[in-house]
Amino acid sequence: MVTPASPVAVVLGKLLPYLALAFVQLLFILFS
Amino acid sequence: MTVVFRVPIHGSLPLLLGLSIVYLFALLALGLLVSSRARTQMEAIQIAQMFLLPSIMLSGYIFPLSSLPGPCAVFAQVLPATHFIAIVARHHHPRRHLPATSGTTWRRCWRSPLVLVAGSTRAFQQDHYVEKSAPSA
Repeated sequence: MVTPASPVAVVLGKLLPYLALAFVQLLFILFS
Repeated sequence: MTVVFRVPIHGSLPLLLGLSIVYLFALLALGLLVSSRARTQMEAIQIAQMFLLPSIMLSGYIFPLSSLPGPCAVFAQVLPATHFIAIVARHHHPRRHLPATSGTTWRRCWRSPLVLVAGSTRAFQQDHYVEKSAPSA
């Protein structure tokens, strides 16, 4: 790895922001 | 209760939203797994297509799962859409909706995303990722 972060932290750091965005989009679709 | 398109929801709405988070997490983890294994963007797009069409055809969205042949039914269990469609269908059923306190439901739902995240983590641990991201000489 070329980063001091652990592989799990890299994966979760990529996934969780997109998860928040996806959930906000879902709420827009359901309730708007 | 109706939320959108006047479709009645008989199950718990918080449970449906919570399980939607698990489904979104599984889809994102699948995308990350595909892109961490692919060497180029085009390869990642093509691998993603290999999951897109089965997610439509084999998830129970168009054809019932009971009509699928054996190998296809096994592969359908790998797709996150199969489980989410079953969850949504049961939420709209007047009597068979999921109990909000069912621990079995949550345990089953978390299995797929955790496996996908573990696969992505393994891909990041391997030298494959370092070789891919290093500039070629």
